[in-house]
Amino acid sequence: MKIRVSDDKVLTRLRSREPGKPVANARLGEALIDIQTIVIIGLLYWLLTEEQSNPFLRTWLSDNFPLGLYILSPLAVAVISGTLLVVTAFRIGLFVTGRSMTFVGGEVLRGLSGLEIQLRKFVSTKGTTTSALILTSFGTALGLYSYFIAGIIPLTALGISCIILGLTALSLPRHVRGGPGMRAMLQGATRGVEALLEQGTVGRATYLPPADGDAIFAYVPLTPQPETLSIDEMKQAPKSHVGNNEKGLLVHPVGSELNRIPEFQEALSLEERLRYVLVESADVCSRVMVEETGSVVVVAMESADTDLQGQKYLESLGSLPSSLAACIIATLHNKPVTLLDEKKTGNRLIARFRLLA
Amino acid sequence: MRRENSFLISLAILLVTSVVLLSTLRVQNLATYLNLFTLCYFADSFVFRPKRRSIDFVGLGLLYYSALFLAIAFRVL
Repeated sequence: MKIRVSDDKVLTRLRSREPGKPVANARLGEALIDIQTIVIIGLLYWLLTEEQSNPFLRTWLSDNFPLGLYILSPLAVAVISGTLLVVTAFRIGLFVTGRSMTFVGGEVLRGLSGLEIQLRKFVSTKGTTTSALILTSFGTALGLYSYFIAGIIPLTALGISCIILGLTALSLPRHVRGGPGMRAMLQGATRGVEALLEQGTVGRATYLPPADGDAIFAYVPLTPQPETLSIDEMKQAPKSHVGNNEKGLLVHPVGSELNRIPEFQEALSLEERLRYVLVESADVCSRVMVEETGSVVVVAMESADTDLQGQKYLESLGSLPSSLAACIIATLHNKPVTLLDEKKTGNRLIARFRLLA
Repeated sequence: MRRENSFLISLAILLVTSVVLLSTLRVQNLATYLNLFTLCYFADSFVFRPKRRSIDFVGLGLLYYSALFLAIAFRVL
């Protein structure tokens, strides 16, 4: 078939057919790499059998290249061969399916960024954590070097002790906890809201998420039967008693400024944020567990202190640990939150929240 | 000083003292070091009772390896 050179479409097709030779080269390169891998695995296996049957080789290795003895152990050979085989199979798979390494690289990078978020959730402070990680890495390197290469047991033990110290530092809380002083201050902070709500009947509050760096508010209905109000209507409610006909009040709950915590700008999960505030900072409970199913968030708090707030605060905003939790949930999801119920079973306080649209 | 800081400092002192002591006695068995570390760790935890972010995975790991080494030493395994 004749190809008209003047035709643009035909030219494009022609150019696309030109790299016929490079494809053959790529195939050859791929085949060469695979053959190399097979040769390396064969050599390793041969060296392993030779090392096991030839005492002269073993003596020579221990005198001149001690590391070789470790590399030629059956486990090390199995690990190296297995890794090489997996990599080769992966490469062949890519070559056959025609997917490029760039695509896979992108997937890997995406996975790594997810891993980074997970790591940031776990290690969310800089100073102490970095020191602990450095200490752990140093301990690992020292332990491995002194055990496998230098063969000095006390130095290995020193490496292990560094690892123990680093991991212990990582497992400890990051901030000074409250104690009786914090407890007294929290109790005092609830008094203002308590005094505001003291006059009438109150319904369940709706925690409103902060808007434009503002504080978290809670809309407290002043009627026992809740009225269906929109979020905008709730936001326009008065912040103090101006008459007798108010439907509701906007109050500052104790956790109204929790959205300003610098660590909360990082990618922390809900459970991590709750632990940060309730366990590590306010010390109002010893452990927090979270389960989210649709618009319902269930928070379980162990050894929760529920005697810090007054009766009206409890009736409307819930107990102090639940109130703080509601503020955190509203900030994280940026949605209004209401406390459905809270139940104390043994040592555990279980609070259920609903996210409102 | 924070209870957690005191716990960490005393643990560091205890671990280094253990290494120095056992190396002075020319102990060449790594299991002995690890068992002494475990003992120091739990004694220190018992005295200071630090609050933790999660379960005590370091203590659990130390306990596991100590038990393993002891089992091997006494030929249980």
